[in-house]
Amino acid sequence: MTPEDLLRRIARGDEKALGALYDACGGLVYSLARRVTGSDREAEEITQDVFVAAWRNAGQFDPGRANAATWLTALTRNKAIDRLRATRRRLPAAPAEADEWPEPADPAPGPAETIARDDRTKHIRLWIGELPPNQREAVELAFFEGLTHPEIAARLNATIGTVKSRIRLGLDRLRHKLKGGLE
Amino acid sequence: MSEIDDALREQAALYALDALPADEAAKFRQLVRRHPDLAGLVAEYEAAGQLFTALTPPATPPPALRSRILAQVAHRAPIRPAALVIPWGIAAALAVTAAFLWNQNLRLDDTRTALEERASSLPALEARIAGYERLEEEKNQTVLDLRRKLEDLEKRRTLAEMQVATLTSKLDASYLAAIAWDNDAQEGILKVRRLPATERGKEYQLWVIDPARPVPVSGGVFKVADDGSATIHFAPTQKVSKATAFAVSLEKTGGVPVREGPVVISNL
Repeated sequence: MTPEDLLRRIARGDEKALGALYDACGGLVYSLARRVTGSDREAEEITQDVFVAAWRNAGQFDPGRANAATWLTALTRNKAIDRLRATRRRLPAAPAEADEWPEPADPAPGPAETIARDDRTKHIRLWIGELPPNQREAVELAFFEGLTHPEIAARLNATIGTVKSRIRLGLDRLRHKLKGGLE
Repeated sequence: MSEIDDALREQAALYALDALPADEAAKFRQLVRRHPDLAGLVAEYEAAGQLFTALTPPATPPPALRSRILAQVAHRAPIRPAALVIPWGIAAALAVTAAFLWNQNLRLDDTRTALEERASSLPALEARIAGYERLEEEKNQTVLDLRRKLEDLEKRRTLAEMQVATLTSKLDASYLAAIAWDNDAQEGILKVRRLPATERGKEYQLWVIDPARPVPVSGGVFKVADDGSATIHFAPTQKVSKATAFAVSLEKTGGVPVREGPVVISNL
């Protein structure tokens, strides 16, 4: 049963389907939340929030717009970025630590359900690896750190125009790759 | 929106990554709602951005988390999709409401367009307003000028109605005096030249001869300067019906109710 099927059953109140969806995507949600917030505790809370939200709002899921994993990761990232920005507002700015996370191209081995062992994930990593480093860096700062384009420009010591252009070009390349087909 | 230019594409990419500052995001959201092709591009950028999830280092959630989540949702029904639970009557009402809101939206778009057109003509309107303000100033100035002319004419009319007389002296032909009398205002001006200075305890006294009264009415007392001149604004203490003549006599200081001294100058 696909995650999309599970969401349809969840919308009808099937608690077992929620358990199955968690088994399929819980690691992905937790990993992304941990990557964005840098905190196990917050990642746990966000994961709980995301699946409770999925339970309540599964009826709003539209498979014509996105697959279940994309829907869940968008939900996860939104919640994680919200927390990150709220924390950033409370705390003084700290310098970024480039080595805080392991190199994405060489992830540590994880549970079977994690995206790193998936062929699809390998393809995506390949595409991202083909991006010019400055484009990839700008998108990563927006995606994982929730920085706005003026903040990215300040972080990279680049002009706002340059940052806008890098992000657009980076996403355009990936968009065309996606249109060319993945699955 | 027939074509999406590079600047708009950049905004769309940033919006898809939630990388626009809040105010810019709010403006762009309005734009996305109005243009389906832009919304489509944003969705494609969102999908492209989501690919970065693949860079996430895998991590394992705590084992207890699954059961906590399932415990939290137990006995809490999901929010059912509206289409499954609402009766057809409500659905129809919602459809009508949606149509109404859609029409309202179109009308708002029309209003916005009209406002934008009006905004573009604002400089011309401001120039016209400035023109009207200049006209208003000119009009006010004209009214002021006319008022002044009217006041001037009023003064001239008053002067025309004033009674003017020259007084002469039988004692000395060099004595000169002229008088202007406004019977309506019951006041007048007397100007004298080359009258001799009065002795100590003496003053000149002006008299207004009114046929309606048995004795002349006093117009007040005065002294002259060293050169024998004086200008006196006077108002008789009694009502004058008609002034037929004026006279100045030399009286004791402070004046007298009825002339006692000699007439120095008059138009009798």
